[in-house]
Amino acid sequence: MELTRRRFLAGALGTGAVLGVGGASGMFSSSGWLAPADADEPAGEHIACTYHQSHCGGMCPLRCTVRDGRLVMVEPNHCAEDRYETICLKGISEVQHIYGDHRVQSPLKRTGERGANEFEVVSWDEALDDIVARIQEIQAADGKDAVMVTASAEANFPFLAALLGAQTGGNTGIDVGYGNGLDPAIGWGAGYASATGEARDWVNSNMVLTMGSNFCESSLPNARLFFEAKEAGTKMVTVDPHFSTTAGKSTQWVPIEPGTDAALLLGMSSVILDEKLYDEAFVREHTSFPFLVDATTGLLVRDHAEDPEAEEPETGETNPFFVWDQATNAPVPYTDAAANPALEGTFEHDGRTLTTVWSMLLESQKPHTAAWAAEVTGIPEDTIVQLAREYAAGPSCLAIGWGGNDKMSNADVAGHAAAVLVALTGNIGKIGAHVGVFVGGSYNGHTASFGSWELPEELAAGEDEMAAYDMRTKESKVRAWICCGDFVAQHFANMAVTEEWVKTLDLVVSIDPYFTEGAKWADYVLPATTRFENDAEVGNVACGYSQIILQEKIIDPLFEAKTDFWIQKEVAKRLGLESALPESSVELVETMLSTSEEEYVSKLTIDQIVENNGVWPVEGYEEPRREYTDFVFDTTSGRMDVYYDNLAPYGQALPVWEECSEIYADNPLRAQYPLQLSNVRTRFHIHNQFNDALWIQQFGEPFIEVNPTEATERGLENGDAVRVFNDRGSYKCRVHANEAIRPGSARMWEGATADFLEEGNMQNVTNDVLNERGAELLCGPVIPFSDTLVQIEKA
Amino acid sequence: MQLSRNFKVAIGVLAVLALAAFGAYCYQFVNGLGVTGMSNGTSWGLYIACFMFLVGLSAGGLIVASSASIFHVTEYKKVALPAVIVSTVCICLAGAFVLIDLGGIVRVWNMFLTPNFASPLLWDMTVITCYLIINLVYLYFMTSKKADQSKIAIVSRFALPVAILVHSVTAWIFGLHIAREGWHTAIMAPLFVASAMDSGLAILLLALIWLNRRRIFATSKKLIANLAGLLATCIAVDGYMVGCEVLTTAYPGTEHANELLGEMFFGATAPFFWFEIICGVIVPFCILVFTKNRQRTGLVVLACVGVVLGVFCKRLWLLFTSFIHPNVMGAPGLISGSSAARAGEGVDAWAVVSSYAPTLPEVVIAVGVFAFGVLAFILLAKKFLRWTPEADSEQAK
Amino acid sequence: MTKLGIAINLDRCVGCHTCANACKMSNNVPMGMLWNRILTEGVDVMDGAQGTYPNLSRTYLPVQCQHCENPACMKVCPTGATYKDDKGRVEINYDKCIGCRMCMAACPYNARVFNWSEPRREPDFNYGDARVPVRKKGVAEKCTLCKERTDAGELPMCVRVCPARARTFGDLDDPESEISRIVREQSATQLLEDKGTRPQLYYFG
Ligand SMILES: Nc1nc2c(c(=O)[nH]1)N[C@H]1C(S)=C(S)[C@@H](COP(=O)(O)OP(=O)(O)OC[C@H]3O[C@@H](n4cnc5c(=O)[nH]c(N)nc54)[C@H](O)[C@@H]3O)O[C@H]1N2
Ligand SMILES: Nc1nc2c(c(=O)[nH]1)N[C@H]1C(S)=C(S)[C@@H](COP(=O)(O)OP(=O)(O)OC[C@H]3O[C@@H](n4cnc5c(=O)[nH]c(N)nc54)[C@H](O)[C@@H]3O)O[C@H]1N2
Ligand code: SF4
Ligand code: SF4
Ligand code: SF4
Ligand code: SF4
Ligand code: SF4
Ligand SMILES: [Mo]
Repeated sequence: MELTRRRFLAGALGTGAVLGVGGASGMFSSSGWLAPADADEPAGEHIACTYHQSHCGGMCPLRCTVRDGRLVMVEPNHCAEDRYETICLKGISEVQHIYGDHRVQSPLKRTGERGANEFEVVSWDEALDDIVARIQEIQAADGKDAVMVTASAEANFPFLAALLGAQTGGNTGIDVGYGNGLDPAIGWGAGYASATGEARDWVNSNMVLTMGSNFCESSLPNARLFFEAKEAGTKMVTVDPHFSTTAGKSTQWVPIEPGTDAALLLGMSSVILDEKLYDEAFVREHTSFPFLVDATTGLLVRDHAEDPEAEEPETGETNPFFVWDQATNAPVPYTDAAANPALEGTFEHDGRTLTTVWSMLLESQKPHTAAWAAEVTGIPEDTIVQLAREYAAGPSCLAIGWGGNDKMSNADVAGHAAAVLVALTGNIGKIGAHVGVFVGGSYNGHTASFGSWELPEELAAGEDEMAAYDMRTKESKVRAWICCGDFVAQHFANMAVTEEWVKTLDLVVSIDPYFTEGAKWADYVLPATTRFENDAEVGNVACGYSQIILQEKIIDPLFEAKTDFWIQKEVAKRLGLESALPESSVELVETMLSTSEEEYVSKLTIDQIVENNGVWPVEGYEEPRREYTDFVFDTTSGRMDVYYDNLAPYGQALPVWEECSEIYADNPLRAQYPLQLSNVRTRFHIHNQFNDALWIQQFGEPFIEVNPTEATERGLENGDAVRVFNDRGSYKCRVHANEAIRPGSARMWEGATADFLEEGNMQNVTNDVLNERGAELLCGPVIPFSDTLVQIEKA
Repeated sequence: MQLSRNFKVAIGVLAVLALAAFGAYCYQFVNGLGVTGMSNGTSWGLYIACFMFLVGLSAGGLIVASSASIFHVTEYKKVALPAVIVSTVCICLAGAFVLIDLGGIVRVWNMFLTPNFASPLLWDMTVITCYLIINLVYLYFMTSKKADQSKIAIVSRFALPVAILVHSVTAWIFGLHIAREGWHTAIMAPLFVASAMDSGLAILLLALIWLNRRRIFATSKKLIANLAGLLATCIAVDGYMVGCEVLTTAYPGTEHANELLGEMFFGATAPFFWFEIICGVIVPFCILVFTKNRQRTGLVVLACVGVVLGVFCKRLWLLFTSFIHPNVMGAPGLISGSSAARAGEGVDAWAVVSSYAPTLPEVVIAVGVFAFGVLAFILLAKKFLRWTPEADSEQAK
Repeated sequence: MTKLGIAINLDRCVGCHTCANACKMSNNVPMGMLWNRILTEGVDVMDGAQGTYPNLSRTYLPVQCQHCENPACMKVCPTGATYKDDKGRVEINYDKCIGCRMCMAACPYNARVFNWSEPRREPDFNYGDARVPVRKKGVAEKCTLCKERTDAGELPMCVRVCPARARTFGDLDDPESEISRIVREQSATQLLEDKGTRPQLYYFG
């Protein structure tokens, strides 16, 4: 076999020096424990284990073969159970991708205008010395929090913000659409609507109602669970405007008008109320429906007013809610076991009009009839009635997505409507009955908690003055921004606005293994290693799909790339804080294990995990995770709190239909820009990643898909280059005519950056208008990426 | 040997073309068949089309020559020698195209080491070799001083069946593939024989007329007319067979057949199909069916050129139509491996329907091989054929 | 006798192409070639749907060498480079292949790819299973049913990695095997049955 280093040298960036292309020496770990001796291991080959992407929720445990210092094969690792032995085409394609020509090969320093994409190669020392010096200068002038550090899910920077006392970007506005509306009712999900149970439990459901998720692409390791359930007789229903991969595999596909999930959910609740299909016992005992609301203020009646200054909100025990006791005809704390609370009713008491949440729901639901919902959603009324009946019969899972209506301005209403539907039917906390996003085994499996390395108290991240997306349009302190991942192109809609803001900053640094779109806007581009490269025997430990997984060293760092740990350590050195950090990533991992609150984790050693192929099952993994089986929720009242009195001023204390901000049917803008643009994930990429993977490019490139009728209307043929545009901007890519796409819509993979399109970034057109109600929401407003109208024309 | 200036130039040009082909082949040898326009979808191209064509051309001559002694058609005996020369040259070229088309010619010995007797290609290589030997033996007996009519007669007895076999086996290289609906037909062998007869006769006629012109070898007008008459019959047979084949394919109206005929009648291979039908069958037949026309050399030449080109076009549509649509259809299709796809990246590497266009090296090689053939024919003709004194009077008849 | 084969559950196949790339990786398949392709049936864009919105259907069809019991490719191969081995797999002896492409014309499934040029690899070294022989320019290649792996008792790579677990590998001659049970009970079909090649790849669901 011949080795040529030509390709390494011929990187697109033309960066000169190439170091650390792993030679055969040094690959064979002297410590011996890294490569568990495989009896039949061919000479010159060794096997090591790591894990893959977290953002797809896969965290697949990988078993890698290294030959002559090069990664030659990536396979699913051996785990406790075959079902955890997962991989997808992206994991496999790393064999090429880690050597790909979009890798940043050495530290780069900007030479031209910001955004002009002109750089020179510099040494690590030169880059880090200058970056730290400039940060210190900025901080001396404007305070520590004039620096912001943002890190994407794949990056590993636990210390950097704290070392610098930097802001961390605040609310993200991403994946929080449904969660904002759903999670406060349950107390689960942290605003991300994470599922209250595991997809493994789908086999026990009668119905899985999926809305706006495409797990057969966005959660490939879970595809198997989808089919196990379907084959076990679970009715898999997918509500999606487009005939997605998942829709195509479902028992039933329910096409819906984009951005109208809330209407469907509200309509279903009406059917359930009308036909009395609700679970009355659950409603009475485990929800806030019997609670009393002051009709004039719209606030829930409580024992006393909450102190707005209080550190922790008061619990239902210390400051109870009230129900109407039918025996005494008076309000009593809901905790009063002797009471016989009324579910329905309006009562005069002490000069106040009190009414139950239930009664308010009956009122607020009046306009939301099934017939009305049919009108709004484009779903036949019969279907809505059928869905409502089947869902109510249960046990059912309501499987919400982050990629559908979540990315529209009315998403929280949909989430809230989902909460009401779940509360009505009691489809939660039971075998086969859960709600939330089921994407990704690692998000909905069991987790192990790790300890952490304690930094000295004076080292802490600064307070976030606002969400980073707001900094683009509002005055903020931030002068320097360190991006671990591509924030410029990936994290905010309407890229032109982002670009204008970035131009005003004094220092921008990109730390990423790949040369991203955002890197073009940086002053320094620093090459990070991928998960396959390490300078130490162990780089990290994480929890994947109910497995503890170790990131072993597979190969030496490629090019001049350095690990995220090394970079933090070097920054610390320059700040004179080196001793605050662990000696090495090995020490860090040891500490994360030994300081875990969970006993079995704290007793685990690296060696034990290594001997077990780098994976260790999370305790209790045998049974699917199920939350709230005791129906005690993590809410103030311990019940499902469906009434959000903080939203009373917006008329959303109970969910009330609201149209999207841009794509609503009667928007006059539609005359100019008649197509709604659905931003979706694809099995071929993880956001901006793998665009450059040659093995994946053979199957897919970012293109815009429209219905053939739309293509014909515009004289477009398959594969034509088109311009996609609106008032915010434009980009060019190729078009596919596909019957799967709903007429009136277009569909495109997000993360499509300029290097992989004919011209421009997809982010140039996306909607960045935030919902005014946003500030009141759990995680702030959601960025309505898909609440976007465009027109396309032949380029 | 006296050569006119034009003649020298012509020979020079042919030699240059042949040399260029040799150079192009070296280039192909080093870089692989990737320098051609072939792909995983259309895995045979111009070379194989030329191979089919040349096997056919070669047959006409030998069939005429051998039927002369078998059936004692004395007139034909007169042109037996030029006929065998044409035949020999064509079959050599045909063999050359097979070899040129091999991607792994350095391993070609494996055909002898571990032959698979079920393979039509093996049969074909065998019969082509036999056929070539017969041609050479024939040539030897006819040109040797001790030329012995009885020996020629014996060789003829082998030659005729082998000539027919060569065609049939070549047809079976295609016709036995169940994978290709357009080829998979029992009529393939007769169809090839018919095409061989007409194109072979046509090329022989062209050769004879040219030899006459250049006063290298004389053939009587009567014989030419006679042969032209035979050609008319062959054209009719060929046309008839194509008709039978098309009807049989079309009538059941299966999906795949419709696709196939769609391409042939209106699609990618339609120009070749219609050229063949019109210029290769209808027009030449209409010319030659009239005795008077057969007397007119110009018209005979026109008809012959039409037939030869028509049959070449037939090879093209026959070969390529069956490659266009894969049996198992769906996007993204075939990972084509074509030279265009290799230049493009990513999704452009796929083809839902396969297409083919020869590349420059391919054309240079093909043209060069033909040039070499013409050259060889001229030299052989010059060497073995004589303008006898009787010729002048013979020609006048 | 042993007659190895694969049964693919089309209800389960989500067209993810994982098997295609895993095959590429494991078998050191160069750029511009695949031994295993995932077709979206009956449409001209990948992931296209058949029908008219909203009455749609979509089937993914993974196509690789069908390891025919009556392999058209083998019959026509002049050198015997293509052969049927004792485990019922159709294999190629690359040292014997003269690159005539008879087999490519003969295969009804377009299962074969050809090394038209010197193989180009990205990354440009031999990746995958070290046991797999490296192919030169001018030879045909195709799915080997992961000969080297299956000889060692391992699953074919495409079967091992399929996220939907749509693929079942086994011995069709063993009536007890899972694959035999599937073929019996799931009314599994073969591709282009009418061609008489009798594939050992089955499709069901
Ligand atoms: N228009 C539009 N925009 C969107 C969306 C949309 O639908 N439409 N979706 C949004 C959603 S849901 C999300 S979650 C975000 C996701 O956007 P990101 O958070 O940007 O996505 P990731 O894939 O997590 O980003 C990973 C980045 O980290 C880099 N990386 C990978 N490994 C490492 C490592 O070890 N170290 C370092 N330093 N870097 C590493 C990768 O190269 C990549 O640049 O995008 C959002 N943006
Ligand atoms: N392969 C891969 N997997 C990933 C990621 C990735 O980048 N690549 N990213 C990960 C991340 S960060 C996230 S957030 C998740 C997201 O994963 P999902 O929540 O599954 O989101 P998408 O895959 O974008 O699928 C969204 C679906 O919603 C449909 N849709 C669009 N508009 C509407 C609507 O108004 N209503 C309804 N009901 N449906 C609609 C779209 O057609 C699409 O089929 O995926 C994760 N997994
Ligand atoms: S991309 Fe996700 S699903 Fe695919 S291998 Fe990586 S972690 Fe697993
Ligand atoms: S890996 Fe499985 S699901 Fe994916 S394309 Fe292949 S057979 Fe289909
Ligand atoms: S599928 Fe094609 S290559 Fe494979 S055995 Fe059958 S005929 Fe041969
Ligand atoms: S290309 Fe190779 S394997 Fe195919 S028929 Fe010819 S010699 Fe046999
Ligand atoms: S069996 Fe092996 S060689 Fe065949 S397609 Fe699957 S992975 Fe590729
Ligand atoms: Mo996300």
